[in-house]
Amino acid sequence: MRPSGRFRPDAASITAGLVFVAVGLVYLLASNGGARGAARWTGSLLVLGLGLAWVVGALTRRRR
Amino acid sequence: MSDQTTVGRANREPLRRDRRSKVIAGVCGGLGGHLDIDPVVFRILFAVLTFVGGIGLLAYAAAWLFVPVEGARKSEAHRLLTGSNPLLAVIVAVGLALGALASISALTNGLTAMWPLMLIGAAVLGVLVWRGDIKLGRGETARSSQPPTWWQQPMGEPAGEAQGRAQGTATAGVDESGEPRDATPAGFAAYAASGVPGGSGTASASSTATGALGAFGASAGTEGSAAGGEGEWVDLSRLHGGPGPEAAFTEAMEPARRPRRRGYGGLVFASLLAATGVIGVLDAAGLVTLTWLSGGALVLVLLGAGMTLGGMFGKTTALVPMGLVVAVPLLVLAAADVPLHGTVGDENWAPASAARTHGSYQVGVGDGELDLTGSVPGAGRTLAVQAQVGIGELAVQVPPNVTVRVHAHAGIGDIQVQAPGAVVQDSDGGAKGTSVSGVGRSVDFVIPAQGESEGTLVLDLNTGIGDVTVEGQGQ
Repeated sequence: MRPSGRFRPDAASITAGLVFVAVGLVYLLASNGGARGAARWTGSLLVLGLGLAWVVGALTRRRR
Repeated sequence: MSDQTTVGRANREPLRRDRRSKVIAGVCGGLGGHLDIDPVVFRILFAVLTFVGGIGLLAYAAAWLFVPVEGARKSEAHRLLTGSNPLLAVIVAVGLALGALASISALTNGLTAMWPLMLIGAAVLGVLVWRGDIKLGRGETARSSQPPTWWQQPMGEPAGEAQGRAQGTATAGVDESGEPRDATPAGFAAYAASGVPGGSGTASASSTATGALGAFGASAGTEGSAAGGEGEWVDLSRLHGGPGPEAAFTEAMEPARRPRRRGYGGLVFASLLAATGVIGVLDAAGLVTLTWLSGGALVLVLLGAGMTLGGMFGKTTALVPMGLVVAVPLLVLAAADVPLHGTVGDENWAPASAARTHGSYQVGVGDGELDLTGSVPGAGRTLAVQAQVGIGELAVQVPPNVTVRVHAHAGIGDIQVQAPGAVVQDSDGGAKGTSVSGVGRSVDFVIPAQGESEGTLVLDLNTGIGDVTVEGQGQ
């Protein structure tokens, strides 16, 4: 069933939100130690995730 | 070009809060319009300053109170003070005073005392929502009835003024980019009359509303001829032969009225602010223990969860910049291993005796100076002291007649020792001398007592970004 126009999911928002959740969880779990090591790859995760969200947003916009 | 066609920075209007590009109260939109800078810059600035003792929040609240909204002559503060509700004025004044006190308190007591600001912020937000100043989740109807914001489509005047002129005379108006200043009949009339695009732009329109619409027809209906030179006054009814000029204008305006998807950024932001305040209360009550890292991570998780949840129903991508404002400093500070505990601002500690010396001294952001010349433990005794600065320099002075064992770490910065007989050697056995510099350096060294030793001081010194200096007396 196609979602109504008033409440339509936004793939880019969901993707970006999940990226922030992932980065936040990594630091939450690493807050007792190991945050410095986590910082090496969470930066890449953030850039990758937001780039992906951008692409998803562009693709879904084009489909509409 | 006539004076009437000259618009923009030369005739900069007084600062007003922007009704159209507002997220909360239109302060950033107004500043952006006034200074010709993208309002996002101010939004990020206010968000960042909010985390520095809540200054951003206070500044925003003050701007909301003292800067009138566009179309109004009196500010909110003026209306409150001269209005018939003195109780509300007192409440607002007390609120601002409390906010200022909380801000000062946060700056002097450290970043962990931020929760009152969050609660005040949530309360202010609640009042604004209740008053209808903030519309959480801007719907299609609300957006479609408004013209595009100033940076989406260049405009030089409030819609109300332009619409008013459409009933009277039309003033030519073309901005620097060569587009019409307003999406109203008057704006398009002026646009067409000035001969843009491609024209000389010398024409000055002065006509009635009907004439203005006719001029718009010259641009919209006969694009080729109008593009060549100065605006030509043409009656739209002659061109279309059916519906009147108003209908043609409405038709031409359709692309600008595309329905926009519902946004939930404001709702998520309000929820995040309230949730952060609750977490701060729990932290202050001792029910949970948060560091800057775990606190920031929790805020990021909540923000992401809110964005994801809101994304199920509409757009929340407006919160991405805010997420970056939290995430990027978190990444940088974690990578540099910055110990962000303690106060904000410079600190000087000079305990008078060993008995009055604390075990730990901390500064979050600022310089720390620890004078331990009075802290002589006594023969055969050992006194351990830890001192750390998140971002800033740490300088420690030690007494001459005490053996001092030092472990020092600097995330990004130098470690220096200025004491007789002391030699600093890097933990990896590399550099050797009176100072070590680089990223993530740790050193251990001993400063021997001059004369008979009256005890031992064990120092654990740590800076995230900044230098560590240990100075012995007699230097």
